[in-house]
Amino acid sequence: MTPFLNSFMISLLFVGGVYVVAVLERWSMTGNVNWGGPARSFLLLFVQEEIKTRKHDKVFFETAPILFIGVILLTISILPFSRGSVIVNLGTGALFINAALVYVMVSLLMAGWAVNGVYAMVGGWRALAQLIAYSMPVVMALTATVMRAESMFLIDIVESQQSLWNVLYQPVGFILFYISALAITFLPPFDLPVAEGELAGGVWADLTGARKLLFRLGRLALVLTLSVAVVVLYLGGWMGPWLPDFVWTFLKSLLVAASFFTIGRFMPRIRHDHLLEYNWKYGVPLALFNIFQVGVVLLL
Amino acid sequence: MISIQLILLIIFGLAAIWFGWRVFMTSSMVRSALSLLASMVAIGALFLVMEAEFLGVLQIMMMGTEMSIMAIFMMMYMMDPGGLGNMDMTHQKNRAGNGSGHFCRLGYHRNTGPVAPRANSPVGNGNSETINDDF
Repeated sequence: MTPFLNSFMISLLFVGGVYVVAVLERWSMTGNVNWGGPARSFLLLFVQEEIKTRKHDKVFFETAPILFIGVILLTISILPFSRGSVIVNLGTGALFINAALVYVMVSLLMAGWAVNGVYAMVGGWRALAQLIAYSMPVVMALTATVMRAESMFLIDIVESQQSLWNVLYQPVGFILFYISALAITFLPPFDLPVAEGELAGGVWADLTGARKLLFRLGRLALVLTLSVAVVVLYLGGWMGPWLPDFVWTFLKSLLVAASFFTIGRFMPRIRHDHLLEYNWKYGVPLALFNIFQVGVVLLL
Repeated sequence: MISIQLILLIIFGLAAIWFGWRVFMTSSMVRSALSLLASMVAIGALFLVMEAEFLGVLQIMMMGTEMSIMAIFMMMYMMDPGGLGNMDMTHQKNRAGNGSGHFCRLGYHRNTGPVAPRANSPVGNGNSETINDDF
C-alpha cells in the first residue's frame, strides 16, 4: 500500500473511531445506542448562538478551547498506528505524551477562569488538582515501559513487546496507567471537573456554540488518543495475526475505549477527597514499586 | 547567513521577552502566571529550535505543571488575586520606603570602617598579614 493511501486510511479510521467513541459516550450517559445522536449534536452546537458571560477574560476565553484540541492533535501526531506510519517519530515520544497531557490541564484551568462563573471556576481548580495528581502515575508508568525498551521512541517500545506484552510484563504499571488515563480524560467515575448535576457542567457550564464544540470534540479525541496510548505502551500496539497493522491498533483502541465507558456506566462518581487520597497514598507508591520491580526483572 | 533556524530563534526569543514583560503588566495573578508559562514555553521552543529535543520537551512539560501550581497557590494566598480591586503590591508605603532607604545606606556604608578590631596573631608580635607574606 502506498504511504499516501495508508495515511488516508488512518485518518479516516481515526475520524470513524472518534464517532464511535461519541456513540459510546452517549450510551454511557443514557443507556441507549443512538447512531445519529452525535451528528445531530454536532450540527446543533455548530449553529448555536455564542453566549458570552459578563466580564469574561477575553484572551483565555478564545485560546483555551484551541489549546485543548491543539495539544491533543499534537499527541495524535506522535503515536505510531503501524510499523511505518507515524507522523513525527520523536526521540522523546514517551515524555512528549506527558508534556501534552499537562497542557490539557492548563487549558481546563484557563477555561474555568475565563468565563467568570462560579461553577466553571470550581471545575477548573478541580481539574488542576486531579490532573496534577494523576499525571504522576502516568509518567512513572511510562518510565517503566521506557526502561524495558531502553528507548523513548514509541516504535521501539512497541517492538520491545514482541515476546511478551507489557500488560503481562508489568501488570501494576498497566493498571495504574489505565486508571490514570481514565482520570485524565475525566470520564464518568472521575468526571469531577465537568460533573453534571453537581456543578451543572463545571468547566463547560457557561460555554456554548463553537467553543463547547471544540471542547467536546477534543475530549472525544482525547479518549481515543489515550486508548491508542494504552495499546501502544501495554497491549502490543499493532501486533496481531492476519489483519493489517493499523486495523489491529484501531480494534484494540476501540476495545479499550469501550471498557472506559463501561466502567463509567456502572461506577458511581468518586468523591473529590477520595480521588486525591487514593492517588497520593496508594497510586504513587505503587508506581515507584512498579519501577523497582521492572528494574529487578530486567537485571536478573 | 539567515536560515530558517535563525528566524525561528528570533521569533521565539521575542515571544519569550514579550510574555516576560506581560507578567508585570497585569495585576491578575492567573494572567501573570500563565504569561510566565507562555514565556517559559517560548524558551522551551528555543531549545527545540536549537535541536536540544529532550531539554525542550522537558522544559515545556515541567513549566506547565509548575506554573499551574504557582497559579493556585497565588490564588490561595494573595489578597486580591483577580486584580479587580486595583490593589498595590507594596503595603505600608512609608515604612517600605524607610526600609529600602536604610538598606541602601547599609550598602553605602559597607566599606567605611572595620566591623571589629583585628585580633593579634598568636605567633610573634606582628599581625597576620606579615605571616601570610612569609608564605
